[in-house]
Amino acid sequence: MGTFIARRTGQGVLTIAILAVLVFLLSRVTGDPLNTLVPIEATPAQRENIARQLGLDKPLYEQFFVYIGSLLTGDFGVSFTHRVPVSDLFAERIFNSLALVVPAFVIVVILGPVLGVIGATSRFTVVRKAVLIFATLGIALPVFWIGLVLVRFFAVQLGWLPASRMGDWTHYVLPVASLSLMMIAGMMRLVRSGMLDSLGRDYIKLARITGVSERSIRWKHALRNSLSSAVAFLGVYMSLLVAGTTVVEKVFAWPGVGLLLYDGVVARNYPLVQGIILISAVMVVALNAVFDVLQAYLDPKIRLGA
Amino acid sequence: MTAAPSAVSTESDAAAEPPALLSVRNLRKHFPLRGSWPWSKSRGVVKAVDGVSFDLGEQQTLAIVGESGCGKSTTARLLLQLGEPTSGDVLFKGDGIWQLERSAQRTYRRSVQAVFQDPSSALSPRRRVKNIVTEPLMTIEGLRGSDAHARIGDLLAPVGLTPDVADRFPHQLSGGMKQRVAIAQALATRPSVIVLDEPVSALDVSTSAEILNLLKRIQGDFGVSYVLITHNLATVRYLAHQVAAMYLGTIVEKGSNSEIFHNATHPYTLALMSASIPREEASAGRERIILEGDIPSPVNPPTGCRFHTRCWLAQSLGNPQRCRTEEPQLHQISGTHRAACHFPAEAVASPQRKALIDSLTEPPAEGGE
Amino acid sequence: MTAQLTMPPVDPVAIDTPKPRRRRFPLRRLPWTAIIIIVAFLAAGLFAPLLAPFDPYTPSLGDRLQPPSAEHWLGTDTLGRDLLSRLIFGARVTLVVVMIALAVSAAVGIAIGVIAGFFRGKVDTVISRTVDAMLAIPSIFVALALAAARGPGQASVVIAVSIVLWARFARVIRSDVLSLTEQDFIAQAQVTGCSRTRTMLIHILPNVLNSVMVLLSINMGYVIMLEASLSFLGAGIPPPTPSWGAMVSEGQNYIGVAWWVSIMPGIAIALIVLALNVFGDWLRDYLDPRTRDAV
Repeated sequence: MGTFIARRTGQGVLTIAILAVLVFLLSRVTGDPLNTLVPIEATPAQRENIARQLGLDKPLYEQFFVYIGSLLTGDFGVSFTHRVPVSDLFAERIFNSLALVVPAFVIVVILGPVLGVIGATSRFTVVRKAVLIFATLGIALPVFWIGLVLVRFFAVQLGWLPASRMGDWTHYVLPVASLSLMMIAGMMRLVRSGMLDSLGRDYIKLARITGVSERSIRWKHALRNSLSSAVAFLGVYMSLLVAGTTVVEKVFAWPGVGLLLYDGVVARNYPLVQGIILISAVMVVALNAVFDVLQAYLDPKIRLGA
Repeated sequence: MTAAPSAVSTESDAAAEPPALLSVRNLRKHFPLRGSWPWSKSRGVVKAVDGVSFDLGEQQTLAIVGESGCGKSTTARLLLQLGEPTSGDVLFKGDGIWQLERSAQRTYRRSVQAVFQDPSSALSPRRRVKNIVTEPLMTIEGLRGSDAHARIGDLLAPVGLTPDVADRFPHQLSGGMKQRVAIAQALATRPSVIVLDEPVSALDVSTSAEILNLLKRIQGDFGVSYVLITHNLATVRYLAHQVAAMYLGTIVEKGSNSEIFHNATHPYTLALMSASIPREEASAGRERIILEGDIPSPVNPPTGCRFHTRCWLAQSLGNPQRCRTEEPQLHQISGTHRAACHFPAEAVASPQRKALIDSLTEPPAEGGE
Repeated sequence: MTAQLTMPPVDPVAIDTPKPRRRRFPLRRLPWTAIIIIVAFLAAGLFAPLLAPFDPYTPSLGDRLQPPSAEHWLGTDTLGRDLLSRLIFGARVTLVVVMIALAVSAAVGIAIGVIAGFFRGKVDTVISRTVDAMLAIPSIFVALALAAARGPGQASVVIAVSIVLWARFARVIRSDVLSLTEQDFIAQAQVTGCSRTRTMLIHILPNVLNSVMVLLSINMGYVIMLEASLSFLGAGIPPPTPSWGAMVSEGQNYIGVAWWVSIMPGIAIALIVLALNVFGDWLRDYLDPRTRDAV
């Protein structure tokens, strides 16, 4: 187990390293690097000043070392427009984002498998078909579109729920729903097909013969084996979740990290974008690693395999 | 033995050995065992081939027999230069093949070709027969595509295929036809040696008979030598002029076809021959020699004689110390016949061997042929 | 023992050639709906100027935000442009971007995958770790960084997608090549004098084509979605060029009064992504020898 954790951690570090290099290259290699490090409204004199300060006259690898050094000490740059370290901005906003992500995650983890099981085993064909359609659509419909549809329907037409910004609990419903819908569909699909696969296997038939209740078969035996791939899915889904959060925050004008990122991109505020990306990536990769370790703990095949 | 249409002569026993086309000297191939990272510590060495020597003459067939894992396939691959030996050498017409410069390398490639075991995986699945068969002409002889394809008729005829097969894909052919294609490809550069790695193991009995006949005919028509790797002694008896038996990386017995089949001496060879007696005959009262125990790992071959842990002769002699401590060398039994055993006389005199030879020289029971 | 081999020598003349068994193409089982949608998408992309009833670029402020009608089948957008025409031209834009991005990623990914699988050893270890690392990076980050660095645009999207996508190809192709190289015909190629380059090009590459086709169809949907998300965020294809994602964004503030501006493009995105997913799944099952008969 220890070697697995070590190996997995190493892999995570490598991922971050590659991303850091990538981000560095993107800023230095595309056009005038100064554009990414100096606000557009700066005077030529200011630009020169900053260029010297940042050591842009030095060779590329020296700049790289400086860059890595600052990252390792937690300095993720300073935003152009806010004139405040990116890490501070991030810390301010992260909880707002988490306020969406965590509930969505919980919903997905609970509802996803449940709906998946129902979709595989319900007596009513209608129900099974409905679940299948829901799952198939869910992964094809763009997140932002879902959000807007929900807004149109619940906010505008029915006037039940507010359309944007943070506030009381009503403000949470639509954004969280949009975010969950995206993930639930994927989860459902996996659990459902895992269930269908398990249910055909011999050990299930054996369980039935030995008198295990249908309910127990469904919810315990067959489900257990589909969960492994579902957990794997969660790890993979982190990436899409990041994209989804960014988009949902834009749709709902939700003051989280995603919206910050969006503003940064639109304003060509490179340090802000770079900083957010790197910090978020560290979080995502770390979470992924934790998931993998958890999975390996539960499933010995993974631990001992490749 | 019953009359077989084999042309294997017994003259070669007494006459001087023909000049060697291929000469293998003390070939060794050790594979280090490592962890998954290329730079982790070595965990031992698999001694797949551990000191093999033999000669191959012109228009001769040398068969290498043994159980799986004895190193015969690895030896074959070394002959084909698929990998480098840990030590030892292979001489082709007197020159070491790993010391050749480029043009001589090409000559070697031209002269030594191969036919692999399973024609389904040995023919490139997405290429047509005509491309497969002419490939050596393009790579080794440097012919251009059109020139090479013009010779398709000449390449397919010797293996008994008509030119309309040329446009087919391998999966459209039967097993026997696929193997003919493989042979045609091997024959394309008119090599001096063809290495046959279990050429008929993947084929059914009647098809394998056809292919063996074909191989024999080709040897006559084209003067090619074969290195035949197989575990099937009937094939060996039919095709081989010389036979070598391998166990755990070394040759334990070698000699001419008749020396081995009439006069096998090494306990392992005897066990192999005993195992190939058809079940019907064996159950009719003739006992087989059964080897007990697991095959030792090639990472840790037994001390002394490698075979002593499973040797029925050693057991019947009360596990002599010599077998456990001293590795026997190949010494001459007669003519070109050599065996690596400390107790050849006892082997010859043993009742098991007598029973085996008896069963091999008797005519087949009723219902045969 | 030798008795078994005393069959009369068979004169090795040609045996009957088996007729080539042509598999009857299972026309009935094709995912027709998906194929129709995909063809429609391709047609829209290729023949946009011929198919679109209106010019997608010219604003017509008098006709702003018209609901779907006989004249404008899908309504008009915030600048009075016909939505249907913009959708059709949007298909063209998406198609171009996606095709180029896929082509580049596939070329790079396949090459790297073949090298990793063929040479194995240290080369493979390094490549595999890099591939795994790249796959763990959220794709949208790279795209957003690029957009922030050099501004939005078609080139930015293509570059960003290529950077992110090649690893997917590399991983699958590598695993294909690993199992291919264990088959005898690769050893045979070497014996027959094939150089390594020739072996990779002639023997290995044709055998990974199946996987490539599946990967292309499955990832096309992913790329379309990614491009749409980027355009929605303003980091993709900038106005006035029509892009489905951007169109959804344009209509966001008018969702109450003119829902069609946002909803229609979204439906288009969903349709093509869905169709591509279904087709990709079918293709995978069709090409896999094990599930082939079930298809």
